Amino acid sequence: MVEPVVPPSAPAPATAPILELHNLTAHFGHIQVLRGISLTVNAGELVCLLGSNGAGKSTTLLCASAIHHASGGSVRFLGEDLTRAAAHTVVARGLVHVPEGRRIFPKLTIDENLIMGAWLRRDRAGIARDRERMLDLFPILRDRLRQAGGTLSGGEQQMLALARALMAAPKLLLLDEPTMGIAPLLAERIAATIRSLNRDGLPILLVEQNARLALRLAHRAYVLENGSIAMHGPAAELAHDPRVTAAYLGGEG
Amino acid sequence: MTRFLRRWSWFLVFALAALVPLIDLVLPARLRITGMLVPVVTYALVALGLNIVVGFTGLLHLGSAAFMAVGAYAFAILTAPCFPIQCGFWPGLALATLAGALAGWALALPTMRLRGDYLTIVTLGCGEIVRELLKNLEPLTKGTQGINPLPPPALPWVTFTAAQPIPFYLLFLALLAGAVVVCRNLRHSATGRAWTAVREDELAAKSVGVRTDAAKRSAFTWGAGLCALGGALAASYSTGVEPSIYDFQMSVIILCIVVIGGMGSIAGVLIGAVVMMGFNQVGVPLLTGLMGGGAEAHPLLDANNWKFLIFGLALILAMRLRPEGLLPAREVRAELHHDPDESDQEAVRAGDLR
Amino acid sequence: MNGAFLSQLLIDGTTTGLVIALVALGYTMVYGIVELINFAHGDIVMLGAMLFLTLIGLLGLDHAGQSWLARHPWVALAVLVPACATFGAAVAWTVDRVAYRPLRHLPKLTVLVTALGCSFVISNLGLLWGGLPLAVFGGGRAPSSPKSVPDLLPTLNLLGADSVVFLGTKEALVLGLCLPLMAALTWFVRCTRLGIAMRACAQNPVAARLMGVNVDALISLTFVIGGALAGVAAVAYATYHGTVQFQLGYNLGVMAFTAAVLGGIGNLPGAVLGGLVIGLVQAATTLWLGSDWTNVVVFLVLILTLVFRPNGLLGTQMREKV
Repeated sequence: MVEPVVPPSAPAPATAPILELHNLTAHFGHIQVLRGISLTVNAGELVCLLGSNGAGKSTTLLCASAIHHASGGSVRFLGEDLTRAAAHTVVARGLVHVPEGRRIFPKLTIDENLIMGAWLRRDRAGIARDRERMLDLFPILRDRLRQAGGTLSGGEQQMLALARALMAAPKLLLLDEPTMGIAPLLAERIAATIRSLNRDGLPILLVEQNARLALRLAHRAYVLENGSIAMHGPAAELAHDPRVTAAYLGGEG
Repeated sequence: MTRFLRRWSWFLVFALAALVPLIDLVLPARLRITGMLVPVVTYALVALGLNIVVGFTGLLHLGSAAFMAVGAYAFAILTAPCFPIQCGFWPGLALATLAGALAGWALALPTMRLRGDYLTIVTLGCGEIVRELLKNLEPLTKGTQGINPLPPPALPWVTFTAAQPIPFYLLFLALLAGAVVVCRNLRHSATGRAWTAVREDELAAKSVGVRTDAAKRSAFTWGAGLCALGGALAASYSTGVEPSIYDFQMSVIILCIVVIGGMGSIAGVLIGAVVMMGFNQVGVPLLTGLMGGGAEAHPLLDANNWKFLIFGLALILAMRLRPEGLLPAREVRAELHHDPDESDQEAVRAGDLR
Repeated sequence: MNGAFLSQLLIDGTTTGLVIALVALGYTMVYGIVELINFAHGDIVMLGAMLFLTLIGLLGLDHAGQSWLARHPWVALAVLVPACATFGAAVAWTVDRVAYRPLRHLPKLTVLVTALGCSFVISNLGLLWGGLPLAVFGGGRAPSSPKSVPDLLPTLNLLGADSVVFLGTKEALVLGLCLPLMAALTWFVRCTRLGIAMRACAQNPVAARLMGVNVDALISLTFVIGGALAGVAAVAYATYHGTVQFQLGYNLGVMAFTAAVLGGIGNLPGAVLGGLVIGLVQAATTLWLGSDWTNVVVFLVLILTLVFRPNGLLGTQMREKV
């Protein structure tokens, strides 16, 4: 990677917890996917969730955003219990989930996709301002406002998905594999955007397969194995933990 | 003992069914049941045919009445005294079945490229076309007046008369047993496995070398053949055919036999036929009696005017309470019993959200 | 064959076709969002037509000139159209809420059979409704026979009394109901927030939920809009064709669904185009072959179209959800 490793600006103030998952368990049919996950995202923090395929990273996010309902444990967001909430009410509280893969609306125009992001907001002025902000953040989108979302490339669709989520004015962003299957150059741009969003104060819970990238961005990290937390700690420390380097960083330091 | 039962269960079921007319010997004339059982058997045959298309192959077919009609009319034209050729019951029956199979094959030709609901609407349309053609092609079909009389079955030493349903019942039951054997063998043949593959995942089937088009075509052909056989038998029993019988409601009733009984399950289809026809033949007259209706009563008190309401409600309830049917095939049951969150997850995972 | 002859064909075909298209829009909208052939939809039109005829009877509109309302048929229609639309919307909402919503996660065939069940129930209710002892139903002695709808509007040729081509007030009513409604629907779906959300749900319901969209509420809204269109179509159908019968739901429903498929299911302009094509084909067939052949020709056109364009005239490649 071209960019030098920059440590996060300042250790985030580990005070007010935004999202707390407590002893979360989840099943799909008879298969238990999560076996008691506890994790916290504090104000201003960028936390990443590492783990191999099928470890339960995406499921953790799905449970947090109430798309999938946990079978046990609790989800608290800004002090409120959301374990059994309906998915559309979770967004209203400011918890916004950008799911894995290309989840944009392919036949809606890019503008309409952005409008959908602000579905629950009623402040017209604020929406218009945020729309401008998104188009400044991702200039590619401005050029193609009237084009169907499905005509964008994979990386551009990911940017659209991110912009659409930000249109909801989130208080916490859940990002699932934002750089998967995307050309390295675009992936770097997306990573830079994520970091700058966080520096502006937005707490983010990031799921990434690219552990190197994730540990570079995050303040803290959790490592998931077989549905439970195997390790957690400051990202900088984990990046040098021999078990992490062996399993997720290809043995390098 | 259980092993013995499993191996011989089909034989036992049919042996018991063949003994049912004995009950009539002790019942008073107005309670005799064999006459009601004949339609159960013919509809079971038709439904077994549809089950090949809907249950085994997973193609939703809403025009099965048309294939019954093809069988019935082919039989009528080949055997009725008002036409130049009278080839007799058995050749007529064989040729009617063949004609149905041919019609099924012909319908399959233009529909192979169609998927899902596009196929459904085309089968429905074909049903309508056949019904209208029966009405409009006067010289061949005698239009709305229909064709009658039709000959009863012919066997040495047995006479078939309208007053005596027991020989009809036993003969049709034997043919049904034959159809069950054919269906079971088909399901476990290479063709049957191709049908299952198409039902489970057409793309995957194609990628492992299953000739899906040929599989669908053969499903339509076999299915239509059985439907036609059932149609011809029903026509022979009722000694006449007319076009209005073979309408959309008939197609839906046959579909419901399959779905309520249990899609893809041969035993389920037979149970479904008993339940559906039982309602029609026993339930409705009983209800008419209860409502005090008769020929002179106000039409709102005639149970025939409530039949489809009750029938529709029963369908809705059946789908709510037991969507897999009364005696489901194993794989269908597994498919239907998982919690809603899980299917969400599958949708999320598979990225199959259009 | 001359110009007048062709124009007449065009007027008749367009009028029939627009009624079909209005019904087809309900099919295609519901299909677009829940992938269900809502077989009960045609029967909702039938029920709306029954209500229309009942209200005509109750308001005394069948006795021309006897009451103020009967002397002002346009005012009467301005009351009856919203009434039937509201009724259609209410029935459609109820059907979805009671019968379809609990099955939303089950395979398509389960819901489809439920839809067939609903269709049977509603058409049977229509049959019983026709048995009510009302003068407009002929006293209700023959519930299943066709009931004639009294002419509310005066019979006159809008193109002038001596014109060879006939464009009557009924045709004008159909045009006046269908075209603005279709325009309004197009505007709603293309330009409003709710319309965008509706399309978003059709494309990706899970992503729509992640945006905070209450998908169930939007599905209900779709049924309500479809039902309201069915209510209006009921008035248009009953006025234009002049008879109402409990089986009209099936006949009109099959034609409308065929129209939706012909145009490409899930596609709103496609439904209108399909409706117009079928209307014109029906008119032409009736003229040249006789009305006995209309269904045969319509379905042959459908099959031929699908052979060459498997996704309908305006449809795009549909991905099958298994």
